[in-house]
Amino acid sequence: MKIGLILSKVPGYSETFLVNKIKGLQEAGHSVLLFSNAKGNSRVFAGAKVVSSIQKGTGVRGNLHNLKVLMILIRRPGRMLAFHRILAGEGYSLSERNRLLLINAHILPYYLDWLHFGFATLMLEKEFTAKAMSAKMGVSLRGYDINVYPLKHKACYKLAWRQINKVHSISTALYKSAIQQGLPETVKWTLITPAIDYIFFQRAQRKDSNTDVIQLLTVGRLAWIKGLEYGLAALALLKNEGIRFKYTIVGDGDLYERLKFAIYQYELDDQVELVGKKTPEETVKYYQSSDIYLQPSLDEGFCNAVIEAQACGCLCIVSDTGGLKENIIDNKTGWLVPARVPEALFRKIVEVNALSDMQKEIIRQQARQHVETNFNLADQVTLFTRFFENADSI
Amino acid sequence: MIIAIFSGDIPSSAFIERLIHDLSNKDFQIYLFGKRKKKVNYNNNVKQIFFRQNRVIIVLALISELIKYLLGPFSVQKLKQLHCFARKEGNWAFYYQLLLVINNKPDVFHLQWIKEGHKWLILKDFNVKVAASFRGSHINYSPVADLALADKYRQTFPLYDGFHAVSQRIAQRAQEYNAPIENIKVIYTSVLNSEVTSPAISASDTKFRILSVGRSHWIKGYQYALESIADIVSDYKFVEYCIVGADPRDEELIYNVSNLGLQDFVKLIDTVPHHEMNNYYRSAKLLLLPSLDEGIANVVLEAMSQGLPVVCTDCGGMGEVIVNGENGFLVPIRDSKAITSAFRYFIEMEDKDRLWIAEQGRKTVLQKFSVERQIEEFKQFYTSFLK
Repeated sequence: MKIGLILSKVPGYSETFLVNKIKGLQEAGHSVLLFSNAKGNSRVFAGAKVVSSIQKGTGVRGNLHNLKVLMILIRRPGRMLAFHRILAGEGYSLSERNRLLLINAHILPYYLDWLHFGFATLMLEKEFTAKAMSAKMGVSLRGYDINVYPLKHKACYKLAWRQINKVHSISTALYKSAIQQGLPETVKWTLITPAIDYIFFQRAQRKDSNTDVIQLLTVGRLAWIKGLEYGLAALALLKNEGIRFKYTIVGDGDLYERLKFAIYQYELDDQVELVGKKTPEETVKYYQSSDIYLQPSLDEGFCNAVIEAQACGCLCIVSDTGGLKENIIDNKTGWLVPARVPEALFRKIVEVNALSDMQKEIIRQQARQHVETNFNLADQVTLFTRFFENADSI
Repeated sequence: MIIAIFSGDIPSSAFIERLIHDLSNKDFQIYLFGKRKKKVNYNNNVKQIFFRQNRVIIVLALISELIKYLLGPFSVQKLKQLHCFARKEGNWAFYYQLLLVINNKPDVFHLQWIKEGHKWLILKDFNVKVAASFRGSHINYSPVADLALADKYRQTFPLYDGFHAVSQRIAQRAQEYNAPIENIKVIYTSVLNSEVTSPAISASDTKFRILSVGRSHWIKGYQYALESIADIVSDYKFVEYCIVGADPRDEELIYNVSNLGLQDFVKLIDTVPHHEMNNYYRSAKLLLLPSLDEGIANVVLEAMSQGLPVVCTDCGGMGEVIVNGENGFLVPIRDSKAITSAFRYFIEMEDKDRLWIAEQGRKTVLQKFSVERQIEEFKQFYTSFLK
């Protein structure tokens, strides 16, 4: 089969999961083509050809853009006509049809069995592309596209849902949210959770701290949905209790100033450090030297960082929300606490810290085992291959 | 006495425009410097001097200002210094702006925002006193996250001739950055007397509307307000929460409304012209200010002047306005449960007690935040370092 994957940008080399997915599909005898919405330097990624969308320019560049589109369409006049005909049937005006044609011109000429969108927002303005290409249309659901974006853009996926042949969701919770956002229940779907290269995370030894200072960690973008201010509020309670700890947040993002100010207001300057973004190798070291991992998010699609933290043997305390409920098995591989309730998070930290070494070790073992059994890369790659091969089954 | 006021743009933000308006009713000569955004009519004693934006015009204006300078009282040696300084701190346009200010010979150059203030300190060499206002993010949280800015503040704050702080609390904060206490004068903002009317508590409605006013920004602490509303509507279905000035497309805000199941209880209203605000104050039963920090929030003063009782976080200078339980309610910051308790208490209060609180609030504004007092204090402020 020929499978086209639509991505927002040309992927970076660190995207292990994507590399493995592409390789898995290739090894199963399929050919993979990547479509990127932004221009990137590489034309090949993991052995798959990368086709960038044609960048719009002004003046001479603008004309060059139109010329490029024209060249493509001359090669496949049938596709252009099919695309126009479908859009006309949907009631689009001629100028709208032409505008969408420009947006889709880099994809339309190819012969594919599947056109798969890496996340839902990528389907916008490309709702009828697969149909015009007589290809099946698939989509992967992610947290932001389903939990946040449609609140601002009501019914934004209305057209796309009608065209979809199969949906991949990273959690059951997210699939349920998509149903609330109008995804018809008749559309076939598959649950494939994210996966990690657990050997990479497990190979080094843990450096358990011997001191009575609890090492706490969160890894992720500094974004409001991560609920980091609630985490800080819990830590302010911990400090009041006279418990000694050090909290590290790995990641960068828009919330830097806001978090710095929260740290200042909670008087946690000596306990909390925002260390910025780190490479995967550096991040592993943070996991390995932390006792407790916190994920106080308001919502999550699934959360890779929590899988990584479990693999590294951190004791995870996460919000009882979205895909996190499927990521952590409560009281077995970690603990769930209500979101937005700093007191609950605080009490759980105290409780977990008071566990005996033996009890902690049992949880750690179970967490590692959980990741190895349920979130390993090889299985996920197989599931993905099957996703495309068995279009009509779950 | 010529007072130059600089905030970047002409016209400036609403409260700075108000200050200009108030000052221009007294015997000051006011020069406004800044980029022209819109045509504004001021009193006769206000002169608008625009910083040009077009590059060609800047070159011509620079030549003309250089000629004026050479005909003026200052030496060529000083001009050289100015030139070097401008090249270091900015560009040709900034050089021209400095010359334009110097040639207009104001007695005081009053910066409304402190962040870039140090660039203008060189005016002191040209017999211009440099003053600055402490307000908002520039002093409250920017230097907390930006350590280079904090350093810049510590180095340059001792060099200013005077500072105006919008609250005692902000004046204290500024001292953390080496602002000498004797140079800081706290002058509260004012609410126009004509705006102060009798309490509006009687507005009868089946809804109990709680109002917040302010843009969508994390410093406003809306997530705590919404959590508290989610709590309160489970018991009091007639409560409605309205945020005026919030962006109805702000992702965090609409996510929180939806996540807390408040779609039927919360209204987000984009912008309302200032003259229509009184209608909102009058149709509400309570004003909530859930902010994490403020100078002194003007909306609180306005609401109080309209006889609208206020629940407000104990942030920034708000404790200088409100005495908890006497003329309003103060709650700790970042604490939705405390907001809920205040709501419950207020909803269960008898009408006459609510009226009493409203009346006390109105009196506070009349006494502490009058225009006359504000202008008198600004006059003292400017004359203090002109001596």
